[in-house]
Amino acid sequence: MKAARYLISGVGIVIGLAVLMTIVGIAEGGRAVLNNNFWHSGIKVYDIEFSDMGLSAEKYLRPLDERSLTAKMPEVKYIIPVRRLEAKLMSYKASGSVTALAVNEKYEKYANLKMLKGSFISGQDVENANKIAVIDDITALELFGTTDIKGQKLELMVNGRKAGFVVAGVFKNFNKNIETLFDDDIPGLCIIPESVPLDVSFDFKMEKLIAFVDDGLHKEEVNAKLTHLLEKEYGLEGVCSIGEYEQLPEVLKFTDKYMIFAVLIALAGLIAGGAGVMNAMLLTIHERKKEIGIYKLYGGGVRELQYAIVYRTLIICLGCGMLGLALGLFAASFIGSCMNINIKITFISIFVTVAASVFAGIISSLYPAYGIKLIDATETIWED
Amino acid sequence: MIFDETRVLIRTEQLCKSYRFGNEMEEAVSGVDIRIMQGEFIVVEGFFGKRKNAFFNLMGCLERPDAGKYFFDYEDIALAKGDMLDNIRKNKIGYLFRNFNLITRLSAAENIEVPMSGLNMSREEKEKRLAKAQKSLDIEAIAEEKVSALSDTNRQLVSLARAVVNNPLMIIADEPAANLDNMGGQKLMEHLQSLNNGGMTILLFAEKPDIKLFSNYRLILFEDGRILEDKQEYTLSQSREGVLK
Repeated sequence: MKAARYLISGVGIVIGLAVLMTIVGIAEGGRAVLNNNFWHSGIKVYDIEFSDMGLSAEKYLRPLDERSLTAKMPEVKYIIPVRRLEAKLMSYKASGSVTALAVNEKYEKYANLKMLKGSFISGQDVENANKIAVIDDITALELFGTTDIKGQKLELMVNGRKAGFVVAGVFKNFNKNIETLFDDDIPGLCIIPESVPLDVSFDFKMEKLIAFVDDGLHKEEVNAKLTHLLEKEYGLEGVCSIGEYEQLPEVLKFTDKYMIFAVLIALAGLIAGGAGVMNAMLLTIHERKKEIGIYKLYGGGVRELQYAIVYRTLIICLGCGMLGLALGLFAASFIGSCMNINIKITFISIFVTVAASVFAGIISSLYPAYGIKLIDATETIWED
Repeated sequence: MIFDETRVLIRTEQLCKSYRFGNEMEEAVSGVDIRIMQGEFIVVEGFFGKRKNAFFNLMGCLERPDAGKYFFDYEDIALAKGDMLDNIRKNKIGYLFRNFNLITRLSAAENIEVPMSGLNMSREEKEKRLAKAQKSLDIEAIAEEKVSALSDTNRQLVSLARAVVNNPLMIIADEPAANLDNMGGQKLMEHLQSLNNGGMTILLFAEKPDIKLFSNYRLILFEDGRILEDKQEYTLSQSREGVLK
């Protein structure tokens, strides 16, 4: 019963630290993904979106490859063209709706795809325009009943026309995130090399270009240069707009906000939990007033009794902290897996959690320890 | 009663202690002069209440006097600083109460160990002292039992074992036999007598005149915070009637 009382009293610490670990784990994991995506520091990512989607496939099937862009604009380090098409994907036994994306080999890192089987499109596949495809695990299960389908044949179908592909790999579906977990209508994904020549009826729309640009350049300069270059390439004006969206700093700012939020929740939890534990300790001292009086009668040093209270409070707070840490890790893992983020728990975050629990323990033990000093043995021994 | 006439265990001069009774401060112990030699068996008798408690607290070194002097084993209690009182209580005094003052959630042996909890000694030494105390009172058989499950007599014997475990100079007892039956009271008094015969000073507070004693003792009448009478050397025959009721 006492253990339950202490656990309940420290539930604030459990919740506070669990929330902290969850948010920190996911945010750190997200940061790691982003940092990983950007390969190295000093790179900014620009999403170049096309305002006019009326451009047909033959006009811009390969309007701007990496080589031509990087040649014209050396500040551009890499480029990923992203073309999109809603199509039907068929196997020998079933079919399903998919969103087909035509991209290059760098998309895997950019989108943080986790390959379950086989491999992603390679640079060579793009170079040689190999007719291979990688699909998500849910689509693989729908079409084949298994994800172990490397080498299997697939057909992409649009308006009755078909194009054959060989499966190179299966990745974890990142569209099935926490928001769409229970939505069965989300189409699957089929990714093919952007260089694969297809029939004109495969009217891929240029969704965006993802440009990795040297950090040393001013935003305005990048914007002007890229806009000029792309519009010149298409021969149209106002066809594209460059989002001055600097993903990394924006996301870091976003995660920073969440971190502050998490720290505030953890702080509130620690205060509430600490007060709860303090209350439980005061209750224990009250219940054991006579016992403490007897120890004092026999010269049991106040200091030893106070140490005992501090020790016990520390153990409770540390226990609650560890429980919060475990729950936080579990919650972060679960949410991370839904969001396709590998959570990242650093030594520092564990150290901070443990230190916060110890700090809460010490603070909440001070008043009860002082309370022991106030107990008068001469009063307690005469109580019947 | 064998006592060391050369060793003064307790000496007081105009000992005073005041307490708040309601809204007013009253003198619970006023101007007590007393001298107790090591090895004496003292019975403090009289109408008891808070004044007796105050006198007990002072004699048992639980509190410092407000005025006057109190020397326990040549140490000035009135001027005691820091852990001095704790150390005296830990090493030199054992306590017995009518309500036993045992920790009910602990076993008999754990209760007996309480006075040793603050002492810097090895586990072996503690176990040795524990075994000696249990054996001297013949309570080894109940050592592992929770005190809440024991009879009143056994509880008081556990309480006595706790009092003697550190081999103190004095045992101060507040009506220890009041809640015991005749047999239990007799057994307890025999043990106290035996301890006294071994040279331990016994300071026994007893409200009723039928003091359960088997041997000589010194009777002090304590009323209204003062010592009214200090009679030396009652004999076995004089007290036997009281013991047997």
